[in-house]
Amino acid sequence: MRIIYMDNQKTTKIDEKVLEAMMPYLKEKYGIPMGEFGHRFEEEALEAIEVARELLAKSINANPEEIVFTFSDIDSDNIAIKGKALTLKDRKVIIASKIERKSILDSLKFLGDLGYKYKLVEVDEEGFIKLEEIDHIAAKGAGLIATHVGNHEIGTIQDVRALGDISEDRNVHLHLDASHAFLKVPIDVEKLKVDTMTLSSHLIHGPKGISALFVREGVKLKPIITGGLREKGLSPGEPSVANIVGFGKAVEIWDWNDVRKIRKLRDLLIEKLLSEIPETYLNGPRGDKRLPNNVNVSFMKVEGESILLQADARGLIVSTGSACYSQELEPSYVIMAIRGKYEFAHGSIRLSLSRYNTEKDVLDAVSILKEVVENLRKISPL
Amino acid sequence: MAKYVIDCRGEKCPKPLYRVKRLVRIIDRDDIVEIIGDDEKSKGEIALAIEGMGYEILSIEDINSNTWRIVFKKG
Repeated sequence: MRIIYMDNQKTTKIDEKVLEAMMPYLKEKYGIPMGEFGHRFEEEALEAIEVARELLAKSINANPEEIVFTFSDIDSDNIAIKGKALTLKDRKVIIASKIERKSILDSLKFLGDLGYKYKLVEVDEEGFIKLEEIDHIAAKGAGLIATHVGNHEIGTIQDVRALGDISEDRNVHLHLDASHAFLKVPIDVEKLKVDTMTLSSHLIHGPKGISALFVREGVKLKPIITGGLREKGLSPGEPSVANIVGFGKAVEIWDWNDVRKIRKLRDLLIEKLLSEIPETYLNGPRGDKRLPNNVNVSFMKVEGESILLQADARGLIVSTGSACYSQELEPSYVIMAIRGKYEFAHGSIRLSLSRYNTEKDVLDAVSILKEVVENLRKISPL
Repeated sequence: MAKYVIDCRGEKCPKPLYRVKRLVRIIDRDDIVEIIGDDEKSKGEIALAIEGMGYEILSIEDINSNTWRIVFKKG
């Protein structure tokens, strides 16, 4: 069975060149850095990490000293959000939107239990955060805005420049989760007024188990993991040198021509799904305000998880924001926030593309989904 | 050729279908799988998935008013 992988916002296939670059650090060069000076194993590990740090920094126009390696995107969000919150002496109010990733939402719940206040602002029908609400709350005295660049489920690219302006005008720390947007949309921290930002490796054909956090020079975060001084004391575990090298390599070999190709495939996929499968609706915006690799649609009268399982049986790998847990169908909270209707949230699926996808993949995916949705509608109680 | 039985009575969607898909990954070609369940939604979706995977459904029957049985061969 031919497998068509369209779950690239869950994780991506590692690039062969990335794997090749990592291998020496898994085999012969297994040292870890211990400080500025050390034995040869330590020195070569240190050098490899610093090269990767420079590659990452260059990709967002940052200084290498502003890049902290962490162990996952979730770690990065936690380190930034909790780490900043713990430095707040007053203005213990945090602003986010209703469609953040769980790493942000759950960090806020955690801080809520510690006495912090958090406000989740509304989004419009395409998933754009209502900036006037953010500004209104920030004006009354908030310490932190934690949100995203590109939405993980519906691909909406937020107006981060405006968010940066609010952050500067109201003197509020701005944390952005750019996991899904990193190397999908250009990010220049010289121009963008962001204080901390999460960058992902495993969504750009790099290895898993490694991520990064941009921490602007001068920004103070309280370490939430203690036990060492590595990575500015913010992520002090023994570094996975191979993963860091792989992350750097994934950034180094990134080709923006692939992004242009993926965007065309995305638009073809949207067009075919909407035209060939009745009662299908696009969630999120079109064009340049949508992540180039994201498609999210709702099929009426079917459940997302049923589509996922049936598509998988036919070789198409997709994902859904809704899930059937313990006999209760849990709708996608992101789709609920933009649509406000269960029928849209239950039947939503996300198809996310990568440079390995082809036009044939797109056409075959539409054909499989058409068959699956038609069959499921025949037996659907909805 | 081996025969496997999945008794998923009392289990609701999507668990029965997950169990079928997991078993299919590890059994051999020509093995027979019998599934017994009482979730009507799972009955329809399991049958669709078996067809989707290209395997042969040998029988679908109602054992009583709320229990069904599906038998298929991994082709």
